[in-house]
Amino acid sequence: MITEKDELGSTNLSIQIQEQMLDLYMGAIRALRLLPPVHETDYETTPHDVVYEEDSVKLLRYKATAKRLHQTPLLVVYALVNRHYILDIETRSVMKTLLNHGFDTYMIEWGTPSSNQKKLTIDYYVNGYVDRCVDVVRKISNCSKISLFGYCMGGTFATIYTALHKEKVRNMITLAPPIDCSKDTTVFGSLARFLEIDDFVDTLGDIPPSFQYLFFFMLKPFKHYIGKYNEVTEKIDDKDFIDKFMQLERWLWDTPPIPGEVFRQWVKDIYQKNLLVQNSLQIGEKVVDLSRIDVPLLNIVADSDHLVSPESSKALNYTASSKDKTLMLFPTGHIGLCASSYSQKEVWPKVCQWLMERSD
Amino acid sequence: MSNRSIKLLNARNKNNSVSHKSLRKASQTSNNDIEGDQPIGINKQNGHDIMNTTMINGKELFTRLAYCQALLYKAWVEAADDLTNKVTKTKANNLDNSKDLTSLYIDTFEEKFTSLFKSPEFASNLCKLLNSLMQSIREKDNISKIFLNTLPKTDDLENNAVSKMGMVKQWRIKL
Repeated sequence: MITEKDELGSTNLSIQIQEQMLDLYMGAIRALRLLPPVHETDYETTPHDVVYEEDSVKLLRYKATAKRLHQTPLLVVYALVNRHYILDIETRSVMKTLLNHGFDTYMIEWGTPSSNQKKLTIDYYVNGYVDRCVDVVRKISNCSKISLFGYCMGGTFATIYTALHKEKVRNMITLAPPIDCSKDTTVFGSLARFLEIDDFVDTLGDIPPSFQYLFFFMLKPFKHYIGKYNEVTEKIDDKDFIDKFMQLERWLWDTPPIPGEVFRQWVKDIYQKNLLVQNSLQIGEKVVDLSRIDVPLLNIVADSDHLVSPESSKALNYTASSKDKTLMLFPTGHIGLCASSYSQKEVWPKVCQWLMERSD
Repeated sequence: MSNRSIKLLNARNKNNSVSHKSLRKASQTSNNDIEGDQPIGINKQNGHDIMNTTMINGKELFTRLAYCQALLYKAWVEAADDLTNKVTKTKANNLDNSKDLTSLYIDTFEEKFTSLFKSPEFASNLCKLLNSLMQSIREKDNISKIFLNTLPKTDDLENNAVSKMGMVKQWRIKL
């Protein structure tokens, strides 16, 4: 607590501030010592079956909790960064919300890529894995078209997929997808412009978690590493809070390596050359033309997204030629869109409502 | 760290980037050598090249690291000054709660460091630092490969052992 008055001089004041700041750092260190190791944290997921497997990729089908109301199935395409279970964190589970609204829900779990998968490009991920998963979902549900939902990088994959295979997609939902990277003003966007990606991928083969953590650390270091852990120190006896906190911590510190060739194309073509929004991105033998997307489109964007600039994501609504397109903008952050009590109250009921109106 | 010192560091970095290219060339040469059919060991010429490239890259790596540290330190000092000014402007009575000071501290430092991390100056320097790191990894691999190639093969060891045995027999006969 600052007790001295201004007239004592700024030097005295700054020493007091420094002492308090030191306490903050000590608080963060104390919290890290008190918390259990992240890898020992258990998390329960919504019951599901693995209905298709290929390499490290698994297609999960979630067990219905409500009487199925809609015939059109929903396939969730997760990102290659971190793990899919952020959408299934207890008490804030997006998957449970979707099931409770009567959707037959599937999700692609990318798993940890093997050494063979390091060489695979976005083409193989989109026209290979995603396409085969879509076909499996169509076959199981006996539906010619499905609803496709892409999260972050998965949103970009879903966008590319819909532009190339729109005959298999009935509705498209994207959550914070990077689309127009010239408008990306985030730390990652800035770094991506200068990254000599060929050097990086040629040396490492893939992008190991340690490098990803370096980028994550630079996003909001003081809030996420000082503020957050001090809050934990104050609530260390609140078991419910700590359990929820540790589930999110586990997710934050659990990321597989990103396949090198996918990351090379991601940084070079999508971030540095910004080819996607210019309708010049080459995927396999085809060029992705976003104006071919004419299915009903819902784009969910966070106002305070520090990972993907809202302006970058919003570009999808300007480029897709769908007559039925909606942009939902929420006053929250990237993770707040899916793993917060706010998203359970504000985001997902609206998303489910939008999808219900457009599903059989 | 003053702006002048940072400019000086920047100028040194520019000079180093020239030698960085020569380093890469030297490294590529040794890479090609290794991938050839003939196993090579450390001789006077490539030993000199390896030492040279490693030293140049080491210098580049640490210059980049020092430059990043200088930028971080500058941001830290500026953020601390900003915080002191904000606290001074806000009457002490309004900041009697340590939580207020914590949030003021976090906001001030976050703002300063986020703008630093987004700046082209920091981003380009960090990316060059990472490139130097990649170069070091490749050099480490090169040195390991060359070192492994200099180790005697199984045949060499066996032949050597046989010839030594022969010599021992000869000595015994003489004795």
